Amino acid sequence: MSLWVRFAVSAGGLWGAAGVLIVASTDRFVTTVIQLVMFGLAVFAFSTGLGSSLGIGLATVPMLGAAVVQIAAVPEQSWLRAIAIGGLLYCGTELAWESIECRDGHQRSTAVTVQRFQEMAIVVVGALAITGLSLLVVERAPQRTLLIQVLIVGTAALALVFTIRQLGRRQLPG
Amino acid sequence: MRNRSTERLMTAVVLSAAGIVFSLFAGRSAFAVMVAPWFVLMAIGLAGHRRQPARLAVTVDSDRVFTDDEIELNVTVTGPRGRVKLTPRPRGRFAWSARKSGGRDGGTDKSMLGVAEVAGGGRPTTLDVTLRADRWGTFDVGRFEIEVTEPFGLFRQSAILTDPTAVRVHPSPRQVAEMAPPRLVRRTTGSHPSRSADRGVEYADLRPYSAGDSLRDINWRISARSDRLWASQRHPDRSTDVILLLDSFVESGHDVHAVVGLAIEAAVALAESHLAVTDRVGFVELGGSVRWVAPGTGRLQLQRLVDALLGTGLFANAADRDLAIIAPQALPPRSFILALSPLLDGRFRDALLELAGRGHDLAVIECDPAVTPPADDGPEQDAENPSRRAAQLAWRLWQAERRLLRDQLVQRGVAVAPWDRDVSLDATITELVRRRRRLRSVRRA
Repeated sequence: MSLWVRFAVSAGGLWGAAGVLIVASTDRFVTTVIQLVMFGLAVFAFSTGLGSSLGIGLATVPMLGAAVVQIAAVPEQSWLRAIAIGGLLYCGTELAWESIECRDGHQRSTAVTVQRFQEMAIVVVGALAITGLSLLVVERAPQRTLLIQVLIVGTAALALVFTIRQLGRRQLPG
Repeated sequence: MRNRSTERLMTAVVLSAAGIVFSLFAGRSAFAVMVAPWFVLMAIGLAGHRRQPARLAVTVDSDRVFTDDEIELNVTVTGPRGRVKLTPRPRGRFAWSARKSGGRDGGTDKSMLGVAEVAGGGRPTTLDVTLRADRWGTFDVGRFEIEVTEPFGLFRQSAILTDPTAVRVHPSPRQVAEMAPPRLVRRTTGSHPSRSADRGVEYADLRPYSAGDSLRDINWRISARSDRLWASQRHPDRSTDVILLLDSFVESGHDVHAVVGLAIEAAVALAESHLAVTDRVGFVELGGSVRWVAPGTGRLQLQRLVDALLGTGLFANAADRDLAIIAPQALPPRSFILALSPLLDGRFRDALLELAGRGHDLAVIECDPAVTPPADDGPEQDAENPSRRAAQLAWRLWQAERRLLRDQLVQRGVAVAPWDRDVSLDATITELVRRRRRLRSVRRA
C-alpha cells in the first residue's frame, strides 16, 4: 500500500472517530448533528479523493458545527471530549493534507515525514497544555469571571491582529 | 521569491476565530478548547515565520553529453528552515526526461522531482535531480518551480527558476573508417593522394632522370635494367576543404527530427574523420535558417562545427533560400562538398544543381526520409478502393520524381548514395566512393 493511501485511510479513520465522538450521547439534536457530521465526512472524503487541500480545510467547518450543536445540547461541560474531538479532527486533517502532498509528489524522504509528525505532535501537545492550563484557571475561578473573558478576548485579539499583519505582507521582494 | 499563506493558515484562522466567538457568545469554554489545536498551530506557525527570502542556485555537472546520457542538476536552497519541493515547468524545447535522485523515473514533465528539508540558519540544502537527454540539440535545462514551505506549513515561498546554462546534447557517436577521396585538393600536405605527380608515398609513374631530381627519387631497379637513370614519380598527399552541407528544410510527411538527426550524426562523424587527417572542414546549413562555419582545422574547429550542428533549427520556412546569401568564404573554390539531405525540398535540390554547375566537387548522402509507402493489398483490393489506388499512384509518381532528380545529379557528375539508420555510415561512404569512381570512369569514357 502506498504512503498516500495509508495517510488517507488513517485520516478517514481519525475523522470517523471524531464523528462518533460528536454523535455519541446526543439525543435532542441528534438529527441535526448526524446530518452535519455526514455532510462533513462526505466533503472530507470527496476533497481527499479529489486532492483539494482547501476542501479538506472547509470540511472541518460542518464537523465543528456539529460539535458545537452537540456541546450546546448537553448541559454538562466535557473538556476531555472537546479536546479529543479537536485533536482527532486536526490530526485527520493534517494526514489528509499529507496524503495529497504524497500523491502529487513522488520523492519523500523519511526525514520529511518524521518532521511532519513532529510538527503534529508539537501542536497536539501544545493544545493539551493549553487545555490543562485553562482547566487550572477554571478551577481557581469556577464562575465565568471577567478575568477569563479578558484573557480569552485579549489572546484572540492579539492573534488576529498578528495574523492580519502577516497576511498583509504576502508579497516579499526577492 | 513570492511569499504567500497556505490553506493551513486559512483553516486555522477561520476555525480559531469561530471557536472563540462561539465560546464567548455561548459562554461555553469547550468550544474554544475544541479549536485549541488550530489555535496552537496558528500561534506557533506565525511566531516562527521569517520574512527572509530563500535563495536558489543551480549547477549542472556537465554541459556536454551524448544522447541518452544523464546529467546531474543540483539546486541549492539557502534560507529559512522548511520543506522544499522542485517541480519542472517545461517549455517547448524541453528535451529531458527527469529522474529523481535515488528514485524511480519521473516520466511526466509535470511531476514533482524532489522534496527535501531545508536546514535553515543560512546553511545550504542541495536537491539533486538527474536529467536524461532524450534527443540531440542545444538546450537549457528548462524552468523549475521551487516551493519552500515553512515549518508547520502556514507560509510558502515559491519562485520560477530559469537556468540559462546551455547543455549540448551530442548525437550518439559514430565512427567512420573510410573517407570519400576528394577530386580536388589544396596545396598543403594532407592524406588524400593527389592526381598530380610529385613527391609522395603512392607510386604514380616513371620518367627519365633529369638534372635537379633528388637522388632519393631514382628507381634503382628499373635503372639497373636500363642504360640510363629513371626516377619514380609519386602522388603527393594533400589536404582538402570539406564542406558539410546540411539540408534543414522542413518538409511535411516525414519525421523531420529523425531524418535531420540522422544527418547530424553523419555530419559529426564525417567532420571528426576529416579533421583527423588535417583537412579543413566547414559547415553550411541551408533550410529554415541559413548559417555557416568557414572551413578550419583542429579540435577547436570540431567544437565549432558540433556547436553549429547542434544548433540546427528545424522550422518551416517558405522564404527563398539560395546560395547567393552564403558568404563566399563558406564555399571556397576547389572544395569538396558533402551534402546530407533527404532530397525532399525543391530549394535544396536547386542549390545542389547550382553547386554542381559551379564546378564544385559534390557528393550527396541521401538520408532516408522514412516515408511509409501506402499499403499494397493487390490489384483487386485497389480496384475496390479508389483512394488507395490514388495513394499508390501518388507514391509511384513521387518515387519516379526522386529517381529523376538522382539522374539529374548523376548527369552533372554528382554521386548520390542512400543511407538509412539500419546501414552503417561506413557502408554508405564505401558505396559513395564506388559510385564516384564509376561516374569518373564514365565521364572519362
